[in-house]
Amino acid sequence: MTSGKKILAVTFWIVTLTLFAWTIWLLRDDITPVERTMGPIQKVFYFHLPVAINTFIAAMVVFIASIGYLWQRKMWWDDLASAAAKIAALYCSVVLLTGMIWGKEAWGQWWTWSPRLTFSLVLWLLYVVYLMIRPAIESPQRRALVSSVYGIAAFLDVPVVYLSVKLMPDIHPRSIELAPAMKVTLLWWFVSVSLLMWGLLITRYRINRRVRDLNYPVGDETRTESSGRVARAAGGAS
Amino acid sequence: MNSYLIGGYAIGIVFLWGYALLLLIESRTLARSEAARREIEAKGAE
Repeated sequence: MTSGKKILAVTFWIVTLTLFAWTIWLLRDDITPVERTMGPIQKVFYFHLPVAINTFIAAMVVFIASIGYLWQRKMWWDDLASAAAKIAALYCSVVLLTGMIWGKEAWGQWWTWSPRLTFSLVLWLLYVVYLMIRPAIESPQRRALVSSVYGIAAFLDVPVVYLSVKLMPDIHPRSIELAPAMKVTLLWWFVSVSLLMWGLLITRYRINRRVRDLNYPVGDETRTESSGRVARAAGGAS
Repeated sequence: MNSYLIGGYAIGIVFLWGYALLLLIESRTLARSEAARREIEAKGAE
């Protein structure tokens, strides 16, 4: 990494961290009022919703990168898809955990098999399985191919999670009425959680690229192209 | 402050920023591996 890029990266992380601290400060009762029906626990919402939306965005990146790999057969698409899948699984874990804590206080139980919660758990499982499958496939091309097909199929659960609460009877709230001060807090949380998601995604992607460069040095076709070791082993056909 | 609320934020922040910290450690370890590799390649070229 050049010194200019290093300064940019350090600045980005300092800004994101500062913004995160600022958004936590915004949760004070005199800035963001307590919601009357649910009480203080409703404030989990300012974290829960932006993290949920960013889970969908990360899943969308997996979907787009998977299509990109199937279309162009460039390995960097696979590096991007696997990076985004890790972030999707991480963010989805936080969605489930914060949702469970909210549920315990609001509904009196940690978990209920409502459509929104069940499909969210399925989404988490889909990306965890994605990450478990990858190391089990030795050939980089085959791994990328299987992951791409799987990444496209896994994305189908995202609209199901989104629509489940609208189309089926569910204990999960469809929407919450927010006062203007609450909307401002939600917006700031969305900005900081999104910045963190993109920071983590880009960093993970860059590490994936560097690991590939380390494992497959210059001159090895597997480094960037699809016509790598498998093709050579099969007689050189690409 | 509600203890469930604090717990929710604490878990989320530990997960997300903990992962950022893990990436930083991984990046530094990788930089050491890359430096070692360059050293080996330079010796090989000699």
